Amino acid sequence: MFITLSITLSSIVVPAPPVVDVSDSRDIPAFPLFKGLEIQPVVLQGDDSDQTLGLRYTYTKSLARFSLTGSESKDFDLAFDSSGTIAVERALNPEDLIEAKLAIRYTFTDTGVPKRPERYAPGGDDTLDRLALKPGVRLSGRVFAGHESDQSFLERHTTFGLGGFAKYQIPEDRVIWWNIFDYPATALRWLTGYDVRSTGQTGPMGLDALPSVGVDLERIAPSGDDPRADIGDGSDFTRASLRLALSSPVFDIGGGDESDEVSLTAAWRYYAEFDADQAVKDAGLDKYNFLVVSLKSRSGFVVSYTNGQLPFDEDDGESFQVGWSHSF
Amino acid sequence: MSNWTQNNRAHEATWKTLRVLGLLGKKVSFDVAGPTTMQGLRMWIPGESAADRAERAAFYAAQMDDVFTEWASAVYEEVPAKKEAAARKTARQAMADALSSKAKTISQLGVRVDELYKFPSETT
Repeated sequence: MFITLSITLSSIVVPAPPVVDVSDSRDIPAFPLFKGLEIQPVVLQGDDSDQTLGLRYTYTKSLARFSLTGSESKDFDLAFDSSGTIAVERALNPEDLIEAKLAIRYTFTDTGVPKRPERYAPGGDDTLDRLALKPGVRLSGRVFAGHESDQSFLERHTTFGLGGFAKYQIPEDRVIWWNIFDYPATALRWLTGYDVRSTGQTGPMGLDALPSVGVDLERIAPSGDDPRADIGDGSDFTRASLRLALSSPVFDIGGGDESDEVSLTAAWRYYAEFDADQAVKDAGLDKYNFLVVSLKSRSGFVVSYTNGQLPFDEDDGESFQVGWSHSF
Repeated sequence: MSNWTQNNRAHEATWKTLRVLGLLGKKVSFDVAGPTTMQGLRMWIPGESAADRAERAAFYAAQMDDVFTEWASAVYEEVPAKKEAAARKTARQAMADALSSKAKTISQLGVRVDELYKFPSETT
């Protein structure tokens, strides 16, 4: 059972509440469809002091997987993913976007795990400790069709397009000076004296501190009560989106076996419409920014700052979220 | 469901591998790792899209599979050799599903690993 306890620190706090995990339903033959679904009750708040209850969900499912090349590193698959946040009072929902996409995806993965030298005993107690990873990479491209809407389903977009994802993985012990994205976390590690590496070096890291990159280029057909139609442009349009996400450890609390490492994370999304009409630009409906910056601990404590707007959001606002999760 | 115990080679390999891959800090002990949820792993990024999180989880699942089979000399449970490629895909997908599930614990991941792989000297 997964129970989240949350604490409120100020009037602009949005606690992180329990997650209902139904993804382990593989043992329940009647509900295999629910595998991959997570539902989390949330308390949401925008710029003012009003709060509302809501549900946040994610659903990811690989429907079919096949390899045309016979290679272990190259795959095709058919995948469905959906996510969204639904609030009792829509106006207070800072993430008013429900997305669903069906995609045919091609992936290439090089894990960076080298062959085990013969001199190390297979399955030996200390064999894993001798493993020195090489850089790894995951690249994927996809063709997708999908649907996005506000939580009321009054404002709707039907989408189709192309997308990609790239992640380059550099092992933990290497110092990556060119990773400027990790300089803030590096500064925090230096200030707190956190020795994240066995070498004692505090320089910028690889791993997830090197941001992953996601891009989409899609054609969108608006329908329903779309806000662009309200200003006289209900035509189809082309939109590009960019997503960056990273995570880097910055300090630990306690020390020893019980130490609770804290990571600084950031997820940024940017949406831009191509060749938008001046009326759409004037209404601020051609570009959207959405940033979530968090400090999160291994034990489940999370402090998040959210700024910006997703398509269909009514306000370009900011909010804070503080919560603590624990599995009993 | 087996308990999270260091006497179980699958559980121990899960814990060690998560540390080797940098998903857990190197100081995290076996007992502390067990109840840690996926949200507590370094790879969990609040606000990341579900699709990108699934990609990230798939990468780490593939890494775990390579570590288990190459460095821990694990084999897939009850799978004829000619179906090894299919078993590999199943194992990677199962671990990717677990890694992208916020509420799952590392001990639950270890149990899943135990179901998917047979490790040398494994008696359970």
